[in-house]
Amino acid sequence: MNRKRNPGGARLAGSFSRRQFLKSTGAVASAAAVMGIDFPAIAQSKPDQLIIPDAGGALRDAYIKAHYSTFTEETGIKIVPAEYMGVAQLKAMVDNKAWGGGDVIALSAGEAAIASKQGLVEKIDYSLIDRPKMLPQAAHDDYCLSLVAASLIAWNTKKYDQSTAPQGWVDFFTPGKFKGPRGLWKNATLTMDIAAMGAGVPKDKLYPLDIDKSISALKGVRDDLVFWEHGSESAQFLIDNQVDFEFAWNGRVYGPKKNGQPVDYAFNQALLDGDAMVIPKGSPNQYWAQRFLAHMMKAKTQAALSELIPYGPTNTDANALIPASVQANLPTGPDNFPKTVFQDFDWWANDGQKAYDAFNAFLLG
Amino acid sequence: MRKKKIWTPGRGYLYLLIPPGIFLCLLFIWPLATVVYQGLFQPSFGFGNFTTILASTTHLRVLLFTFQLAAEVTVICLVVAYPVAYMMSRAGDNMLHVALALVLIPFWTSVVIRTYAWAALFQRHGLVNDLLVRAGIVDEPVKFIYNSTGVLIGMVQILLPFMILPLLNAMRRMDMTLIRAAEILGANPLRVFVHVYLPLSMPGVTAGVLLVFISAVGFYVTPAVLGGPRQMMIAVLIEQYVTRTLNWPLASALATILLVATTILYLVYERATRRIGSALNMGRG
Repeated sequence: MNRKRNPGGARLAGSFSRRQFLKSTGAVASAAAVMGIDFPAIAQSKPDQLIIPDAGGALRDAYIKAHYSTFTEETGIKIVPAEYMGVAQLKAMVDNKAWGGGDVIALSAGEAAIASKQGLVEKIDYSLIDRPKMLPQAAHDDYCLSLVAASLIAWNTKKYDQSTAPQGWVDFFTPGKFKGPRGLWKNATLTMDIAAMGAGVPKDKLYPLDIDKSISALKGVRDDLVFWEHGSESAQFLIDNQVDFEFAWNGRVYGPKKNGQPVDYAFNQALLDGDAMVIPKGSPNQYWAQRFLAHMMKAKTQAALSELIPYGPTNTDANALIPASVQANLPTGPDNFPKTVFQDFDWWANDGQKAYDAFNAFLLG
Repeated sequence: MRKKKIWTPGRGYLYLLIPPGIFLCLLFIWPLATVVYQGLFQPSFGFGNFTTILASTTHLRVLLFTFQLAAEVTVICLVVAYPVAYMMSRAGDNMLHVALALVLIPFWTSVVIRTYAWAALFQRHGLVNDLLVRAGIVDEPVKFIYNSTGVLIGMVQILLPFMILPLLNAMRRMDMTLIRAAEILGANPLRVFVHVYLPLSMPGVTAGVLLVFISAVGFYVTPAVLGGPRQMMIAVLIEQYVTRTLNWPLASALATILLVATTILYLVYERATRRIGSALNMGRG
């Protein structure tokens, strides 16, 4: 049967009425027919739902309010959030043509670049998206960022304030300049980038990444480093004063700061990446997947998202729709954006292995 | 005329093995074979992936550290679990039930939660350090975690039931008359222990040691959270290749090396304990 290529049909819990069967087979048949052509001019029969794996938690709630529910209002297609699917699961899905796991998938930008390099994703239909208005580092041929997140320096306010805290990565990585334990993510990506900046590499000359400089910066402060594995740990480290300052993601420290915890942060030399939306290669629901992806890139929905969580929009038109008080917390805000630099996802997809190997060797000492 | 085969219970049991056999083949042997296949045949046939791994000092150091840590955890578990299992095997019913609950309830709690509980207890301003500093025993917080100490404490606590339960099982099934016989024949407590009790408990020791060691070799969360950067287990590297750099052939090769190394260690251990067992053996367990 067509169950594998027929996620809409296979998912029905109860009866599988003839109408549903005909509807879904019709969708598959027309999808198969137009697979060879670039983008279908004829609308296919609509699927009942699209499955969107995302990061979950507060981000999913925000996605639901800003993107998912508005898409359902416009098109009538239900959006079903699913558990986060990493690039490894995406590869397993595409290699085995096991559709039903996700129609449009939210990956981290670095993962999306790897997926693109390995040919696991479809090209994005930019006729549906206003590409000139998108941030150039966000809109790639195979993947498109839906939000901008910042990796920055956060500190415990009992020890430092805005003027006394480390002002940039050079302060972070200069031995002896700031005393005390400091937190870092136990992962090569993002950490090696900021370490290179800590060695003095200017942010506009960051890529191709000078791995040796990153390692020497890390080695300089080795004894003061405390590593965290998960984002939630990073927030806890500051609150519990396990570290005096650290590398953290702005989304993780915004909440505690707002709730009155002794946490503060600054966007100086922040490194930007974000959630990237991809469409698995060969997916049967491509027509509507492209439209959903385009919907997530609209200025209006992105502005709504930024008001719910402190991540910036990738559609520059959205900035006009966001009030100034909210902009102050966003990596894309007018005061913050000039100080930041985007990670080069393609460099990491092509040469990341070397950085990982060097980082592992550094960890072992 | 064909002679009718007589149905014996023995043959019946053999047929009962077919469903679990199919289960094992489909869900265990086949996936394992694909992993080994990926390591050997992709991107092209050859030992390229294996040479990449064995030529890199990072990989070798991590492999060595993994086995070394697993061995340390196993020894500590054995030393701690043996007296506990002994006490439990000699306890009355009520005491035994309480003791079992104390062992099993943490056992059923998620590994991740227990790991983070240890982290919360032992962190710089956690419960233990707070007590120590306030009591004046130390001036500065002691570094309990993000080093080997933290990892050992966490892993031992998590793997202890795997050692206690097989030991308990072996000890309870022991024929205590053999012990009394040894005492009657004039052996002092030490000789009774070394020559009678210990060999009789060997099956339990073997089972516990194997369970703990093999589990410890594959541990990921506990060393990652409670350990420092130097406490890197092989599972961390495999995870990196599978999910972060998407280098599945290399990950498969690494997993295969782990499998082969563990199997070799198991075979060596089997031969060693068989020799010791026959040297000390005075009766069946």
